[in-house]
Amino acid sequence: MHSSTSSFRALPDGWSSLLIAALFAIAALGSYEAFWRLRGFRPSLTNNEALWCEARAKVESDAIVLIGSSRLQLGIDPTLLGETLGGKSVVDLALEGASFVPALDDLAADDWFHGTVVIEYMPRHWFTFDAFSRGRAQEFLRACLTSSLVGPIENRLSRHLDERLALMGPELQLMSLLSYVAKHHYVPASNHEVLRADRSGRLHYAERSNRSEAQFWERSLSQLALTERFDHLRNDVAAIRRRGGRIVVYRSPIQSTVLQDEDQRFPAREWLPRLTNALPVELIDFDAWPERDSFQFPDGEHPDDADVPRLTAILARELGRVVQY
Amino acid sequence: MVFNSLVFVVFFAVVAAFHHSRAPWRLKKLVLLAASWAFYGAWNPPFLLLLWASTVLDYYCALAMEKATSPSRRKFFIGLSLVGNLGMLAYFKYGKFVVDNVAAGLGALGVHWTPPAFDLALPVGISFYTFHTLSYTLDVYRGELAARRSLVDFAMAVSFFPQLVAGPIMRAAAFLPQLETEKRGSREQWANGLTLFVIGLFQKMVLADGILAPAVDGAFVPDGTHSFVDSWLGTLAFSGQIFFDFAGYSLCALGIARCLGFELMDNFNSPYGAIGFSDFWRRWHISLSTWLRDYLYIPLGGNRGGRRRTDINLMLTMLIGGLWHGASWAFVVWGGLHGIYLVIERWVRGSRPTEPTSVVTFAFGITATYVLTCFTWVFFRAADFTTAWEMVRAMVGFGTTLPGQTSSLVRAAVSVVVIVGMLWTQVRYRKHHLEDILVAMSPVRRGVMLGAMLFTIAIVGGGQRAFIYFQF
Repeated sequence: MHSSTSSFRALPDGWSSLLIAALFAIAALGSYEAFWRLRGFRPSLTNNEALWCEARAKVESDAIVLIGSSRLQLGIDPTLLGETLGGKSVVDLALEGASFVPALDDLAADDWFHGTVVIEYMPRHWFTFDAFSRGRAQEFLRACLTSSLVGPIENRLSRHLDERLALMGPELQLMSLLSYVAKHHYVPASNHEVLRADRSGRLHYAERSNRSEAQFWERSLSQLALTERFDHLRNDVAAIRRRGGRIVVYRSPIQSTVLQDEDQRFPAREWLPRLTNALPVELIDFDAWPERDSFQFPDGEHPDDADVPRLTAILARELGRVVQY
Repeated sequence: MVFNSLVFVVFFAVVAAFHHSRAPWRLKKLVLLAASWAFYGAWNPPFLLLLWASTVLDYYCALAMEKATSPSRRKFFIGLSLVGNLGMLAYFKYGKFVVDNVAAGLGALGVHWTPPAFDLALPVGISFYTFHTLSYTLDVYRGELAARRSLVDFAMAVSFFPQLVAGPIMRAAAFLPQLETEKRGSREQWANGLTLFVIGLFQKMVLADGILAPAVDGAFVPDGTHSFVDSWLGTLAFSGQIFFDFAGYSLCALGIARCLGFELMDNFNSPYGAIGFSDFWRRWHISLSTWLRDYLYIPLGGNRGGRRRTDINLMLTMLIGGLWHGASWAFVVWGGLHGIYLVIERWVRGSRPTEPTSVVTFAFGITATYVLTCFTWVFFRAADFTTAWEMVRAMVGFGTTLPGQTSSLVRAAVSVVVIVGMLWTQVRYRKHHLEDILVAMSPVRRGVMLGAMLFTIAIVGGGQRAFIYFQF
């Protein structure tokens, strides 16, 4: 079968079939959208390079920038944080499953930036080899550098659709949906995650899960490699601080298996002091909060949507304390 | 700008609206040319300078060749065109490759030399438009085509946006005559063109990107452990991904050009329904294989110099064809393997008929061709030699025995369904024309099929991957 041709052949009733195609597609998409809306799905943006690059481009010189992985991205509302801190510009560059290091390198290399960087404390990103998470973060950073001239226009156009149609959401993409059904033997009831334009994600749990972080851990850094890692980070931190910027390490609340796993391999009482001794950073540690036991995280590390505003308010309070906004 | 983007939809709507206005043909051509440059410049505007340089150089070389009274002057200008175009290609595409290999070669001899940093971005589609424009000067040199007086027409032949960055590699001789009279898409051409565009987008966005690409990416992990099943699944999936990606692009290009009233050449014809490798190369990337045949293999002597000379010509053509795809030894190996297959096929086949006479030889011919082609795809896709070698070892039973790490069972199952469907379709319709099949369908059936494709395009997700052949 030729898949292209140099000789043009008229299709009988070509326009009729295109009309049927359009009607069929509109009806199918309408029904699909209605079905998922009735089940409780809402539009969600996709956590992709385009959205990250857009956020990166919004970093003002004195902004508060959140970097890290899902605990920050899904746990803090940057818009609310900015409002609580009196209208400060807050940009969420945290990325699910990604290391903070490439983003910190990027901010350190940006001579213009002299704001506050809030870095998530997640031991595997600090003290293990962690090649996968770094690779993911580097991919996003590279995408910003290689974006075409029309990339931002495309992003804006597609965002209009993503913000309005539930069917464009990542959980309703064909292969994700098939994988879900194959695993659970039923269709999802509603979005597990809704990503908003400020890149903050909101989770809606259907059930508790006994999540374990240990499965993602790569081998620990040797003493030499750890020293090199700290040297590298110290240079980044020093570059930002030289320009008047501040660095805050944020250990967000974790519970159950996640806390046990982390404390078994990298006990906080031992590793947090090592970190703060090695780097000139401020520390916000949930362990010191009076509200530490008032949260219930269904998977042990990510809050449900309802808890995000409270967690954000606490971070605002703690930031105000350590950075004196 | 890529076809599978919303920006392109807006761009094309504006271009098509003007193209079908009452403006004079000359103005329409100018606008189409400007639009083509905007389409190209959307990636990286400075690279437009290279496109313009190549266009202007060949425009003047062709005119000079036509005016030249002595063969030596004609040779001078064709030499200038070849050096200019291939030099540009060599610098941007092969510069780093050459420098790195020289450094490695010197290192092997005990001379340690650190090459200067050679970190140039590869201009999108440079290999394609270089071949577009060279076909013009070579045809003028041979006296098969008259030099164009109109720079706008020639620039259009080089830069026409549907075929600019990934082909089909249209010969100037086939495209320039289409510019002589005013072109606009008729109602039938629009219906036909949009139909092809939807099918092309479906191939690209659903089959190549949505379903097969994740299975491929998972299997071709550098430094990963490769099992027999994963390696085969990844390789078979890549055979589908590369086909649907490139054939999908070609269909989109053809459909868009047709909506504007232009015709582009065939690029694919059920390649996995091929029996033997000479048949494969008559069906895969036809515009490149015929270009290499006409401008390289035949000038080298083709099959006119005896068996050994023919084998050498075949090998040279395929090695250069491999290198055309990219500056790496993996592409050379890919081309070399195809060259070896072609040479062996010539020895084995001898004077036997091309088409098998029994079902057994038919099935064997198709299966053997496909499986051997898949082995070459490993070198085409793998990020480095080590990964390719590990994959090939795993495919012949020397891989790890660890169970599938590639993808979920669902992804694997869907990929297998797509691959089997692709192979069945290409074997079943190996002698049919896509348009004949579309013509034979009832309008309702065709409409429902296209509607289902549009629906799947909307829900498949998978991000906006660039077409694989853009990197060449």
